[in-house]
Amino acid sequence: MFENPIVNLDEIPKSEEVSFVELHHNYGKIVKFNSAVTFVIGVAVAAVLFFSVEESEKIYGIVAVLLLSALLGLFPLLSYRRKKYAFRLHDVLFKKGLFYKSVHISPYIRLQHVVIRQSWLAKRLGLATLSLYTAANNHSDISIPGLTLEEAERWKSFLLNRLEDLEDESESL
Amino acid sequence: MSQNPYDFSQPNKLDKKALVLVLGTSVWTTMRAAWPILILFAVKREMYNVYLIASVIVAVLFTFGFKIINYLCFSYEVSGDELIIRKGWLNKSKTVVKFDKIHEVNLNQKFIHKIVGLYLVNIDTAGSASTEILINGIDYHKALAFKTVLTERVPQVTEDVEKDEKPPLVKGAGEEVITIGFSSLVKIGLTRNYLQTFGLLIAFSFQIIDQVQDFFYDGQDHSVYDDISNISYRQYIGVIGIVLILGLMLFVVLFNLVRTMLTYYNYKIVIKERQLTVSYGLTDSHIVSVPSAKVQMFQFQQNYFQKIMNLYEVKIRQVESEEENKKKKGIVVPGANSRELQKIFKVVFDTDLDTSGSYYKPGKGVLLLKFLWLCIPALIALVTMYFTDSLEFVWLVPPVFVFVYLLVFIGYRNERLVVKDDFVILKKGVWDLSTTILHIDKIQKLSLGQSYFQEKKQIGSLNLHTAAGEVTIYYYDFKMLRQMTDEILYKIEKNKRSWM
Repeated sequence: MFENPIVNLDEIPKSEEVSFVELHHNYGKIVKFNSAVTFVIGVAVAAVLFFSVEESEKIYGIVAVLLLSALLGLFPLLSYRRKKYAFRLHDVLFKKGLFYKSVHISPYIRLQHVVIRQSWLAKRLGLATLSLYTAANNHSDISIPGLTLEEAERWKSFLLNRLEDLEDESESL
Repeated sequence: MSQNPYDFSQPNKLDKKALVLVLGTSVWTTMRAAWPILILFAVKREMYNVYLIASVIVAVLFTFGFKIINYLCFSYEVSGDELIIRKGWLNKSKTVVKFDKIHEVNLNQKFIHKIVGLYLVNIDTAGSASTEILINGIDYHKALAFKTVLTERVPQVTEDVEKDEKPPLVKGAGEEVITIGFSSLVKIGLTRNYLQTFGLLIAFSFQIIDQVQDFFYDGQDHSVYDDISNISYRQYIGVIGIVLILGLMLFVVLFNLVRTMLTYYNYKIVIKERQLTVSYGLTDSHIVSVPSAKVQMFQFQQNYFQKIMNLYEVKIRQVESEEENKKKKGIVVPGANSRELQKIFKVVFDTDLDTSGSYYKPGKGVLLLKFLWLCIPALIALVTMYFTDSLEFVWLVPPVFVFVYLLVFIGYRNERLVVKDDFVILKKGVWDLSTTILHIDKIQKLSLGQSYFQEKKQIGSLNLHTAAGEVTIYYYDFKMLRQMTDEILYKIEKNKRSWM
């Protein structure tokens, strides 16, 4: 039977009201480690500049390198707590950003594939990154870091199941 | 396909003349790579060396041998709804592509193809660039038949369900042809790509000024310049400058015209059912067909001159993968009048083109923001002038500033966003007014964002990512964008329509 009930505008789900889930607290360790590495590299480059360049103007370069590496290291430390995610029945939302806040939303029906990734540090901490790919042709796919491996795998199987259901539904239309 | 004289269910070999094509292309590429060496040999006789020549000949024979083997081992066939390509002699490879994964079949002709009268069939599939399939060397009729087999089965499979009631007699009658005549092409060539022309103009003029200076100074102390400057330096420079700039403008416009004429010579659009087939080109011919379901984005643009002549440049964009971005994908219709534009739109989206209606504008704050952004280059210019002791040019800065800001302002005035039915329509531009029409079903991902400063003003931006690039809606009312996002998501998720 064909049904066509009236839709009230308020019935359209609001993405604003979604409650987001924070990343695993161990993810902070990965961010801190990466920041430390960035800063150490900056210091190393500065040291090389200090010992290898003769001109007295080198000080500007050294200060610039140090500042840059400090900024590059500091920024993720401040912003990683802002990364949050939410899975709804039909789409996934991922929030991030410190100065520029953004929400990325991907409907499941547009997903092409789902990949779980682990760096060596994440592996040691039992964390994983869940990447969701669509056909959009830039590197703007949603990647949710800081999930436990178990969570990531369960979300992946949930997504794949949803995808299959949605495809069946869309074909029967 | 009862009227089809070709049987694709058996392995098909390439045309016999394709061997000429293959060998010719390899000769051409080697010649192009090796001509300096060949000239060197021709000039310096003493460089003859038996071993060298022998090794070159052996290498050439080997490549020819490989090419011939590749040619002999290549076959293509259609089995069921799959295209099968077999390649290789010792390393055999077999590529199987399902028809519904094919989203574009193009016939191309380079100059050498024209000579032997064969076509290069280019089959684009969904997925990475490496899955692109080339069949080099099929004659025209066979290629057309092959294309029909590949492309026409696709929509029929998916639309069978709905089309049950419709009698198939619409088929032949529904075919429509739009051609772009010689005079229209001239008009188009004279009016399009001004920005590109302007860029070329600047690049050229720098080079030519360089050349001219070299010519005048000629490496000696005494130059032609000195003589002339004694007479009337200022006047001379003024006259030659104007002549040079006018000449360059004329040259670049003519260049543009010739290029447009060559590329789009004999432009023809065939509209059949819900598929567009476009053919064009003088030296290199192209035949491109696009089923409407695979169109990801629809754009058309018009500048002031084109508006007077009722011409639109239409771009029909398809899936663009990263590796292939260098190649232009989709269809460009260099000039269509408004009626033809309507017709093309109708074929693609099955509704009438209507961009009117209530619209949104970006927040006024964007004007202030861009004003502040513009101050940065202006300040840099002033500071450099101060430090390089060229303050006599300071008077240039305010007019340029005002001019650029005027362009920004015109851009702001032209920009508008219309959300209508299932379409997001964004109009923008300064000189070339472009209209991008995006069907909601083609959206893959949405990103809603706002910066720290925008938060207070309730302003934000929305990125709509599609397989053919993204549409950025920048600096609009955030509440409206949020509502729009929710509505788009609702429609995508409710309708569950596929995006290609």
